[in-house]
Amino acid sequence: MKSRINMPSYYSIDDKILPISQIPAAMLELARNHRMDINSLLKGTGIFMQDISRRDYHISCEQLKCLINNISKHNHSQEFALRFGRQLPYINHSTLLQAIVNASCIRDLLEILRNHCRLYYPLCFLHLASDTKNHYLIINDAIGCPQQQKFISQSFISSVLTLLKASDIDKNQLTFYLEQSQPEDTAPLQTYLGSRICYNAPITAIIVPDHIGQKPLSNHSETIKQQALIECQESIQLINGKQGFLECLQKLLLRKIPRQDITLQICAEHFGISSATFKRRLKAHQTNFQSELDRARKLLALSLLVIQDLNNEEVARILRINDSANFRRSFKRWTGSLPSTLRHQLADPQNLHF
Amino acid sequence: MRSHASLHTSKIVLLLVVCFSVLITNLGMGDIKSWGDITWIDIFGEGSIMGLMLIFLTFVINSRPRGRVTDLLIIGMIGFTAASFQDLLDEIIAVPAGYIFDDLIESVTAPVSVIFLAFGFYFWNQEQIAINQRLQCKERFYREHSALDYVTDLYTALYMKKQIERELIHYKNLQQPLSLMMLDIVNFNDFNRRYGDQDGDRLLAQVANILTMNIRSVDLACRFAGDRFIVLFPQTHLIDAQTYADEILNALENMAFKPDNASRSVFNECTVSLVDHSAGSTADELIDRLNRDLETAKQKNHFRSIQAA
Repeated sequence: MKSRINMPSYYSIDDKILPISQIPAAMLELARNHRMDINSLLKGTGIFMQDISRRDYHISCEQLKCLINNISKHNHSQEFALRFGRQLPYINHSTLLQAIVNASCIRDLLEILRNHCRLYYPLCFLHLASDTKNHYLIINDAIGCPQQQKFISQSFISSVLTLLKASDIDKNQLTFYLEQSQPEDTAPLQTYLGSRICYNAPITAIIVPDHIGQKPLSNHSETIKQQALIECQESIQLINGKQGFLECLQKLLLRKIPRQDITLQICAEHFGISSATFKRRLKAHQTNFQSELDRARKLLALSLLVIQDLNNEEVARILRINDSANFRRSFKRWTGSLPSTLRHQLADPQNLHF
Repeated sequence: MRSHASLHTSKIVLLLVVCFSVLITNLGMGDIKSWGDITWIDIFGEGSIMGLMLIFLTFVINSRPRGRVTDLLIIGMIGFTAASFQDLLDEIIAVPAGYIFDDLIESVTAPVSVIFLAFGFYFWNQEQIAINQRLQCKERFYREHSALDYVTDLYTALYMKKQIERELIHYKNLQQPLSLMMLDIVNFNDFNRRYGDQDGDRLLAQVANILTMNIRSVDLACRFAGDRFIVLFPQTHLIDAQTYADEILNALENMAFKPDNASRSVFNECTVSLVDHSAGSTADELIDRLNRDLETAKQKNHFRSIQAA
């Protein structure tokens, strides 16, 4: 029996980790302004009217998912996620916002976001990668919300844009990759995100060209930023659950895939639980081991192909897939297109179609 | 919007009283038929007429405010319901010959209520024409309530897209020009953060009002999304549209908005972009072009304001 490796503490879908006074309260407040009926929004969430104003009351991600579902059912909801995103930077930790506005450049700002997404928006986690031309901020599901992904990614992207706009960044210089298909009414997304939106993409991401990423910000103060970041680290130390369950698993998979043939048993051991419990927990997060493994491989393959510019054979070797024909087939299954096609599409920033 | 049912309690009571008294009178005069004598197909046919009439009545009661048209429609429908109820009871209760009550209900009430209904529909028609006039500038030829924006009472971008496509066909067939304008409130997000979402929505509604007041009756204004509006000028060349756009901008810049929790009025600037039919061959292309031009105009204004500062 292998010794259990020290895993960071993680939160599951039903752990009560979200302070009601932050994201849920802001969402309900906005819903009320949108003339939605709060009582019908709370139906099935297990949240009661009187809980909303309680201090130190926490709800689980499952409850928040239910709330998002109820909001999405409303017919006034097309713009809701985008509008909510505009408020997101201001409803969480004020020290985090302080660190963000004192960042030295856009790349630095994105890095702060990536490292503190737990404080910013616990439903997702971020990868940040850079090549010579672009910076890629990739938005992932931290806790298993496949149906709510549209809401989560739209609100997150809109919130990042609000932060960038405060630094005089023109949104039309950025490109947005959305996994959703093109909606019938594109007006809200066009208005909030600009014209460079790419639907049916293999990942959800914001692509920032390097000359914008390196642009120095006028409010920059290294001392204030460092102080604020230390405070943020301290508050992360204090809270239960540093990462979402799927985030934890994805990070483990990304680390392990190049080193060994990873199986469900190995992962379960890392989490210190039995295979059966691990499977059950995956199911509770609306996923299974194979699709999580595929997701990690997809991301790894994409980053190797696009950012490190490796060829198919090399990528197949790193992913521990026997031959490149097999790799091409799997890649098509993960992303819907062949490696060569996708490489061309991603390399050409003018191309917005998949 | 709440249901209007509570406005019509007296009518609902009237319906119940009428139906109940028809039932009581019938029971008093005749006897219930034996099981074998009942023709089920008739019961089904006549019952469904009454059921449908009750459903129509529910729609009217739910959606219409009080007034002459509503009174006529409801009274007509109650009369018709009573007649069809009597018709239905005839199949179940055998009334001995000699009573004229059932014939009276059936043969006199039905035509009288149809006359009430006819008057109701006539006035409804008049009312609808009056409402259409009030909706001028917000609606063209086509009504689709699901595409309405609840904040501004304008139609949404989808509705506009259909109308642009319609105008483009006119352009292709008859060479009638069209122009489009897109308008955006400068720094609306800051406004929202300073004065709150409710004032933000109020501002949008007022901008929509100013917009509809400053366009011709053939034009159409819609809310695109967020703080963005779009106006269609049919049969208009770009040069004329430019004049209209300047007039609209002038009106909007002089609109003194009074936020609820601030003592001073707020004046907002707007950015516009304009295109005509030559900018694209589909509605999507035209809207795309408008959006891009608007973004460029916004950037330009932004730099100008930085330089001025």
